[in-house]
Formats: sequence, C-alpha cells, structure tokens
Amino acid sequence: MDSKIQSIPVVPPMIRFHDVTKQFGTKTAVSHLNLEVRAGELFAFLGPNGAGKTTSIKMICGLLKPTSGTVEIGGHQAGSLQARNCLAYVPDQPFLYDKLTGREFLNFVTQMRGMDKVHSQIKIAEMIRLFEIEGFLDELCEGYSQGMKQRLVFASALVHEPSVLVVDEPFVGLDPRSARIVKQMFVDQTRRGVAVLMSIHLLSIAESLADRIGIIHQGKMIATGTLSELRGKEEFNGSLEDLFLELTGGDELLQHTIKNSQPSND
Amino acid sequence: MIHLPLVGKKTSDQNVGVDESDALHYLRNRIFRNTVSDLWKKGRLRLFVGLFCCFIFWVGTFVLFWGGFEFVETFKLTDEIYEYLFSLFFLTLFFMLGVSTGIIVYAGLYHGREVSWLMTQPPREDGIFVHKFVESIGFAGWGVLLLGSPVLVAYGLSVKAGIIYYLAICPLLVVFIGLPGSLGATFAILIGYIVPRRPKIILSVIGVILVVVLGKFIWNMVSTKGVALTPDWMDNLLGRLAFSRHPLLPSRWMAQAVVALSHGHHANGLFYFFVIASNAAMAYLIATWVSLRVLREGFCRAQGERSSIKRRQRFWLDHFVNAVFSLLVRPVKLLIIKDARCFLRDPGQWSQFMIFFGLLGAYFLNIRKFSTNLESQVWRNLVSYLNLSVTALLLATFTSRFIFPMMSLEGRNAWMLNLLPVRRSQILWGKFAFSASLSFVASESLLMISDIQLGLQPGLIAVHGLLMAIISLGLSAISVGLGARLANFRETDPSKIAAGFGGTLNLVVSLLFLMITIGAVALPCHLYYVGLESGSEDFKRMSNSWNQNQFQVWLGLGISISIIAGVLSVLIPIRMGLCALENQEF
Repeated sequence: MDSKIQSIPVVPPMIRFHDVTKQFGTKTAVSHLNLEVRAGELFAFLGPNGAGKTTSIKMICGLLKPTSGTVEIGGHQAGSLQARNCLAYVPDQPFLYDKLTGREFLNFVTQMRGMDKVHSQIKIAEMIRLFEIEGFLDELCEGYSQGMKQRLVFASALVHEPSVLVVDEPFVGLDPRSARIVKQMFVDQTRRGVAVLMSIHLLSIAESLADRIGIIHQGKMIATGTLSELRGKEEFNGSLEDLFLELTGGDELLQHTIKNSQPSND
Repeated sequence: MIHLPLVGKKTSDQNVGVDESDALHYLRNRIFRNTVSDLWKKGRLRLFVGLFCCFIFWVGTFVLFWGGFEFVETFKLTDEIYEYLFSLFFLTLFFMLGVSTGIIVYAGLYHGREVSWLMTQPPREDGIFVHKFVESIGFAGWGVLLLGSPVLVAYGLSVKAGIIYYLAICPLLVVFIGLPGSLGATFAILIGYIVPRRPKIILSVIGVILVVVLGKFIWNMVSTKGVALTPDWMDNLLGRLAFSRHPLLPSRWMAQAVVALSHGHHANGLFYFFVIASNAAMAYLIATWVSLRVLREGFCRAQGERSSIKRRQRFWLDHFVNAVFSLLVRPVKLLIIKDARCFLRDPGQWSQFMIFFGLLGAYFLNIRKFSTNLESQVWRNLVSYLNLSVTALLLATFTSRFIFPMMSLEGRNAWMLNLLPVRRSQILWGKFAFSASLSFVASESLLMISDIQLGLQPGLIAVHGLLMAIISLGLSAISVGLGARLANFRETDPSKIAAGFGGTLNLVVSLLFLMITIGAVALPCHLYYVGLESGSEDFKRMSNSWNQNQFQVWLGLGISISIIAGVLSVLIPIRMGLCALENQEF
C-alpha cells in the first residue's frame, strides 16, 4: 500500500506565488497573494479593473519584482533565465516589429530560443497550420490587423514548446474563428501538460475553459477553486457573472446605478 | 550591421547553443534591410530628398569651415591654436553626444515596449542593452559624422594633409562616438536603477548644470580682456580655455590625433587613435557590465513607477486661453487648452525651452558688459541682427522638435477627434494659434530686451519686432503644416518623429525661410551702416552712394520680401497640411 502511494507522481506547481505583496509607493497593488497553478491546468484569473491581475502577471514574467514573498516558475525564481526558458507570455497589447515579416519574426524567436534550424522549421510550419497565418506571413507586420497580430504572437509564444503559458486578455480583437482556434489551443496545451494562466474579463469563456478560477479584488485573492467549489463556498447557484459581481461588490453598485437612472414614478 | 560583443563569457545557466546576440543581430539586419527596401519601393522621393539635404548640409559646412581655416591660416597659427580649437569642438560634441545617447538609451530601455517584451525572452540583460545601445548610438551619432567629417576634411585641405589623414577621419570619429555614447548609456542605466521615480527631474538638473557650465564658458570667452584679435587678447583667451586641453580629456586626444595625422606624424596620431579606441572599448565594457548587473532591477523599478500626484485643474489657464483666443470658436480653444496642459505637464519639453531662452535672456540683459565695441553703429546693428538670428534659430529648433510632432501624436486620438464637433481644419488652426502665440511672446520679449539694451533707434526696433512676428508665424505654420503633411502616426516618441525624415525636412525648410526673411532686411541695414562709418571698402563701394531715402527704399524692399516670404510660408504649408488632413484616413 505504502509503495503504491509513493509511486503516485506529485505534480509540482509550475507557477507559484508565495505570500506575495507588491507595493507602488504607498499603494498596495497585490497583498499576500498565495497561488499555485500546476502542469496541465488552466487557471482563469478574474478581477475588476485595477484589481492587481496585470501586476501579478508582470511578476510572473519577471517584469516586476515583488516587494515581499516569492514568485516561482517551474521551481525557478521568476525573471531568472531558467524561468524565462520555460515561459511564454502573450500580453494584452501584442508586441511585434513593424519592419519584420511574420516569418522573419518567427525565425527570430526560434533563434533566440536556441532551437536548431531543422526543429525550428518543423515547429514554425506547425504553428502556421495551427493559427492559419500562411496567407499573410510574408508581409510586413506593420500592415497586420489586431487579430492577425494576436495569432502571430500566439504562434511565436508557443513555437518553443513552453511549459508555462501566461496570457493577458487573449481574446481582444479576435474574430469568432480566431477565437475558436485560440480556445482549442488552450485545451490542447493543457492536455500536453502546459500550465496556463489566463487573465480574462469574458466570464463565459472562463466558465467554459478554466479548470480553476481565481478572483482577485483590491490586490487580494478573495476566492479560488473550480466553479462548483466557488458556488459551494459562497452558497450561490447563479452564473459566474453573478458570482463575480457578488464577490467584488459590483452587483450592488450596478443595482444602485440602475435604480438611480430609472425615471421616478411620482 | 554592427555586431558588438557582450561582456565576459556565458554563464553556466545559459542554454548550450543559445546565442541570442546572433538572433538580435539577425533582427537588426532584417529590420535595416526591410526598412531600406520599403523606403526604396514606397518613398524614393523621401530617400533622395533626405540624402540631398544631408549633401547640402555637408557641402555648406565644408565650405564654411574651409573658408574659416583658410582665413585662420593667413595668421600662420601654430598647431597649439588648432589643438585648442579642436579640443573645444570635440569637448562640445562629447557632452552633446553623452547627453543625447543617455536620453535615448534611457527611453529605450526603461519605457520601450520592445524591451518589456525582450525581458520575458531568453536574452541576457547585457544583450538587450547592446541591442538598444547600437540603435541609440546610431540615432545620436550620425549627426557627429555629418558635422565632423566636413570640418576635418576642410582642415586637412587647408593644411595640405596626406591621404592617411583622410582615411583616418571616419574611424577616428566612430571610435570617438563610442566613448561619450557608452558613458552616457551607463549613466542612463544607473539613473533608472537609482532614481526610477524622478528620472526627468534628475535629467533636467543635469541639463541645467551643463547649461550653467556652458554659460560660464561663454561668459569667460566674451569677457576676455583686451582688444579683440590682438596678441594680448589671444593670450588671455587661451589662458581661459586651458581647461579644454586637460591631458585626461578625450577631446584633447582627438585634437592631438587630428593635428598629428594632418602633419604626417602617423605614429603619434595612431597612438592617440588607440588611446581613444581603448578607452571607448573600456567604457563600452563597463556599460555592458553595469547593464548585466542592474538593468533588470532598474527596469522593474521603472515599471513600478506611477504618478501619484493629483493634478489640479488649472482654471487660470482656461481663463487665460479664453481671453487671448477670444475670437476663436470654443472647440478650438478647448484643443489649445489641452495642448497647453500637456505641454506644461511635461517638464522634458518646457525645461529645455526655458533653459535656452533663459540663457539667451540673461545674455541679452548683460549684453553691454560683453563688448566694448557697442558705441559703433555698425557693431550695434550687427550684434542686434546676430541676436535676432540666434533667437530665430532657437525658435526654429523649438518648433521642429515640439510643434512638428504634434499632428503625428494627435493621430493616435483621431478616432476621438473625428467624433468631436470640430472640423479637421480647426484642429490644425488650433495648433497653429497655440504655437504662434507661444513663439511670438517668447521671441518678441527676448528681442525687445536685446534691442533696448543695445540702444537701437525706435524705428529699427519696430522693424525687428515686425520681422520676429513674421518669423513666429512662419515657423509655426511650417511646423504645423508640414507636421500634418508628413505625419508619422505609427511612432509614439516625439523625439524620433522630430529626428525622422519629416522633422529634418521641416528644420531645413525653416532654416531656408530664416535665411530669406532675415537676410532680406539685415543686408541693407548692414550695408547702410558700413557706408556711414569707415568699414570694408567692398561694402562701401556697394553702399556709399546711399542717402537716407535710398536706404529706406532698400529697407522697404527687404521688408516687403520678408513679408511675402512670411505670407507664403504661412499659406503654402498650412494649405498642404489642410489638404493632407482632410484626405487622411485614420
């Protein structure tokens, strides 16, 4: 029995926040955040504007350092070379070089990731098929639409087979077909064992895709778990949208606004 | 393309086979090739106009300095004097390059989206620094090549230097650029690391210190005792400039390399060349070492910077703009208030404006102390036009740097402006009114101080006032009109917009406009006063037959030319800008 228990593999957390606080001057953007995202898990990070989502994501990417606490990626300190090697980050406003073609950009990323030529060409071809970017890949990026840019950025993020994928608002500017491709990509990545952390405002997508959901409000993680766990904890049977508004106080504010905007019956 | 090495060896935690510097080299190479190819396909005219402007500038500088060196050669000056001249020249370039590279490196490393993305990728911090450093030094250093090469070629011709000297000019300038560039970049990285929250204030303080040092230097120069160009005066002047020949200053090494190579002392020249090159290499290594250690931390700190200052409504500004522009419609006044507010809240903009105009004001207020020759009407007139020219040149720089990019930057808000109840033409006229009024008040105030201090006749003061009004209107219209016609809606950095093709063309057009407007009035005035006093025989022959009435006719003609140039410089660029703006699809 003991030997059977020992043989069960313990999946280490690929993203780990340990009591992380981030302050900007006197303002606390993130307060004592504890969070773990494991391999093969899709974690949806929800919260109102200014709640601390982007700050947390920037700490994962090593673009911000926590004031206290630690952030680890694959067991390595965030921002270290090892952490960056296993990480892919897709920001809400994708960055591309205007004067490169999409193909040149992918070549540049694979070179930077140290991939050998043959393997990189195979992976680039795979990404081209997956994101359907063949049609515009040899044009300069300056002429791309938001959706084209977003698809190319996803391709460049996944071309080196990362074990952690962090995305900030991935569906901005995507048409329904592109959105479907990206949704399917999330499913495929988690099946492959990639840990995915996704910041998103589209609650219906979070509801349908996420394995676990975390709601952050005023820098504090106020709820984490699967949707059913959250409902259970809060004794709430409504949709994720209702739950979200309930937890973040947005519902009361909304009701107040609606009430004030209605014409008086007197 | 430039491929610079990194400091030290790769650490053990780097992937085997990963060579991100090769990847970044590939990136720069592809961007350069695509940009040139794109320019060749879509903007051949732009390319040729840019090259032509550079050529004209090069030839103009060469002719000017060749004439100067030939004139100086008639005095049979010693090499020591040339070393003084070149030491000063390169010292000025050294500071300008250090500051400009530092500013560009700072903006690129701490506020650029590219670095924000690269920081999440495998390249080491020093690799990212080198990538941005190459770009920055290219931006800051090309002007030194454009300015330095004609000066050095002119000097070589005047002293009949050998072929080795001409071959050495370009490598000398390139290694020299590397030294202040690396120092400025190191300083910029450290500023971001040590004071991430107040970088603008620190940079402004450094700017003020540099300007004060420069002011002190100019003061020392102009207050040299003795009659100008006499041996005693020269001795006094050289004594005051002795600091520029300090043996540890790179500008001195450059001066000695130039003078030695020009006289065929190749061993000596090469020695100083390698002194500069080795110091530049050392400064570069220090910069990469510093970046490896502190860049990520500095970047994180700079990213954490947030403006927590609550901005108060400036009602006085609203009242002031409403009063001054009472004839304009309300939406245009609101746009002017918006521009004024943005201008006031960016100390990077108004501090430079204030420093240079303040220095000029201080100089004009003390102008009588600077020269003992102001009893002469010829000198007084000459100095008054020189002051007017300096003020106008400063204004041209201001409008090219700050007004020209305004329409490009407005393009990002086009969706909002299109929905406002204002016509596109009103946006353009609003910018013109903002620029012209600011320029008019600042330049007229300076000019009045100068003219009153010089004790000019009221008639001449009025002529200068009219000329400066034409210049303020003309320069503003050129910058606003060309700014709309040659708008760059993709670039978000105003300094890059100003340094691009459109900004350069704007500056060239502004300078041509100034040459016509000032030259047309200054020339008859100068000839008239020279004719009155015993001046140059050549000038006297041209003007000694003028009486008061004939002078007035020539002056009237000059003023008419200036007015016509002013009207054309307002109408043509504004019309071009209006057409471009009306047809622009955002």
